[in-house]
Amino acid sequence: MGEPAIIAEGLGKRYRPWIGLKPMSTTEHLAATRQRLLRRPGPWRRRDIWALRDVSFDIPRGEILGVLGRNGAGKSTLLSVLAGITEPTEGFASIHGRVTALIGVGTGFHDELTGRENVLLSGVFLGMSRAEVARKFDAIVDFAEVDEFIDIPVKRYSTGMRARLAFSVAAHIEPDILLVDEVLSVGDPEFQEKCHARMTSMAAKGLTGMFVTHDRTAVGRLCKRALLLEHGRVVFFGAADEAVAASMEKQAQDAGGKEAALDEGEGPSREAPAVRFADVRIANTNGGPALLPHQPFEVHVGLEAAEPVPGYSLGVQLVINDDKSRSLAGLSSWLDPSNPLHQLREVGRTSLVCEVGELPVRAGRYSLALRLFHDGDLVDEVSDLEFEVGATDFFGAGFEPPESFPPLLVSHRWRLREPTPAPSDQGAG
Amino acid sequence: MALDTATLERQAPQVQIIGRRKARRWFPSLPELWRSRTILYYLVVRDIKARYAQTVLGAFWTVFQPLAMIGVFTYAFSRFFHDDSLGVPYTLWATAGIALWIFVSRSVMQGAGSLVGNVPFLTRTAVQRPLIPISAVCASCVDLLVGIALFLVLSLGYGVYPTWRYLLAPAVVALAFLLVLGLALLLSPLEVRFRDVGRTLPFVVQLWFFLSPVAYVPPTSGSELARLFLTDLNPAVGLLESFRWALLGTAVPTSDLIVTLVFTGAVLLAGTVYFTRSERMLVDEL
Repeated sequence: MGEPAIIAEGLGKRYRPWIGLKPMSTTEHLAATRQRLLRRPGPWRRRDIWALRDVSFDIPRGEILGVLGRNGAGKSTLLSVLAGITEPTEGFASIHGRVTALIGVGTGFHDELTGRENVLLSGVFLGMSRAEVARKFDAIVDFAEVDEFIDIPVKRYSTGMRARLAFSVAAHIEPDILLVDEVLSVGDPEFQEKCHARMTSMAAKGLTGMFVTHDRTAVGRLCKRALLLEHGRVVFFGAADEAVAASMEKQAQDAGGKEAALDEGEGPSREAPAVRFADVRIANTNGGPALLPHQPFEVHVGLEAAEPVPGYSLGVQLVINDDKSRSLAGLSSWLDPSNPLHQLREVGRTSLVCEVGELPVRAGRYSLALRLFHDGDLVDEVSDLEFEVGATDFFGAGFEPPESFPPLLVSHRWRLREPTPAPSDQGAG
Repeated sequence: MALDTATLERQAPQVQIIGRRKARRWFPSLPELWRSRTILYYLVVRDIKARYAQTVLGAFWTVFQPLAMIGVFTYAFSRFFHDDSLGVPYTLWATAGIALWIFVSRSVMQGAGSLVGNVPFLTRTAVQRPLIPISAVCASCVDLLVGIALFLVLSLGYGVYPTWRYLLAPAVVALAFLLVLGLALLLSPLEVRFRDVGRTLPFVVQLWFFLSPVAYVPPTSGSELARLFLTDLNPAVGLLESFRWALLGTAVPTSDLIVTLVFTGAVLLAGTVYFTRSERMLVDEL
């Protein structure tokens, strides 16, 4: 205890993307360079975006630090900087020990190669020797639960399988410091549980970890302390449960009074996506919040674009989950052929209404996750928007199905098959 | 045993400082690259395995490609070139040229596109960046080895036997390796910045092929100036002639070889410096 594993001091990372028009051809590049050298205004402008600014923290050896924050808050950039993949623009960090970073699904995996080949390659690329990989090979495959698929190319793997195999390789390297990006979120809950257990046991042996996630309960369980990032800055660094509470509060602000949160967050370092959700709300057809099973309801989605974007480049996806985080249904603007986004030439501020025909579920708490896509990239996300479905006697049975019953309500009826078989035939069948 | 080394490492962890490099380097650190040689080996293995994954004939393609090229050229050019004008059988003369050329053209193109083609790898791992173009060039050596093997088989068929000059062929190969390595180091960061490089390169390499004595002797007519730029300053001429001298005992190259040596040195120096200087920007610009 007390001995540091990572100390970060004022880390900052600046990107300078082109805004609006960007030089595409070589002649335009030359013109843009000339314009910059002569300090002349011109059509090509760059903007400074600080993906990280003034990030300071420390992790003692054997501790797992949780990193929370919305998409685009700088979490992945922070891991890339600490992993040595990209250089910080300012500040420094000292890293005490061998680092393994698990960023994105399948570090160094090659699609065309088999699972077996990729385990060997990615193990070596992450810092193991060939003999080490060979020795741990069976353990890696066992842990990832991909035994039967180990000899087929990873391009045929599901995202979850790739994530499992990738985590498994990294977890068997026995690094001093393990940096894990959101890769685990694509695995199923059982596997996530297994990974969390593995990290806890590794931490007990002295592993230091950094764990980027959206899963707040996992942060609460695994981490003693957590870091909450927003727009590249640290907004909270301290006890994990307080960080979780702070991030919940941020999200409530985001989902409810998004405008208020926006003004507050406005600053030079804000990493603004081109389009974002302005406000999101669920209502029954009368405008009230109470929902009943098998009754239509609406999801009101407000969109806001920094610069107008064409409507066809946007897509909104909704996923309805039950209280055990099981996904029940997916809704998407792409699935509606008459989707109004396609008619909009420019989207600045727009309010959309998604009319949901019916939600055949029994009474209970559900949650809605919304994702906004722009040109195929995920640009904003609102998760865990909770809503409640009230009890009705849907089946007319006089009682609700028990809690343990699956959530979907499907109308059904029982009858006797005609003609009723004679009692003497029953033994023969 | 292994447990002990792991514990040892854990007891004395190396401290690594991450920050903006104050003094910008001009050359990559050779000790660091040498330490990553296992990674280089596996990058090459990955490239080679991936190249033939999902092809029915697999590694057969490495043999087939130069074989088909030699077949086509022998058929097309053997009518114009008589063996006595070259002093050696045309098939052997062309095979030697094509073996070396396939290596040069392939590694220049693969090397130039290596950074752009490895985006997921570069953005997720911290492996030494120069290893990427180096591995692309190394992976192309397979083609060279196959080409040389083909040459040896054919030369025995023609009754041409190895001489002491064969011992100098590796030196020519090394020179070719350094030349294409320099080009790969120079072109790969350039392609990150300007994807135009990847579009233009196939034509440039094609043109280079027609200007070089790979499968035929390019006509030397034309103005003095054109000759100077197209023939006398073409680094491939010295390379191909030296290679043929070592394998077939054709005329000893002199001035052409000097051009190649100077060109290789310049390209290697420029490539190394340019790569090292732009290395830290790479991931952000990909």
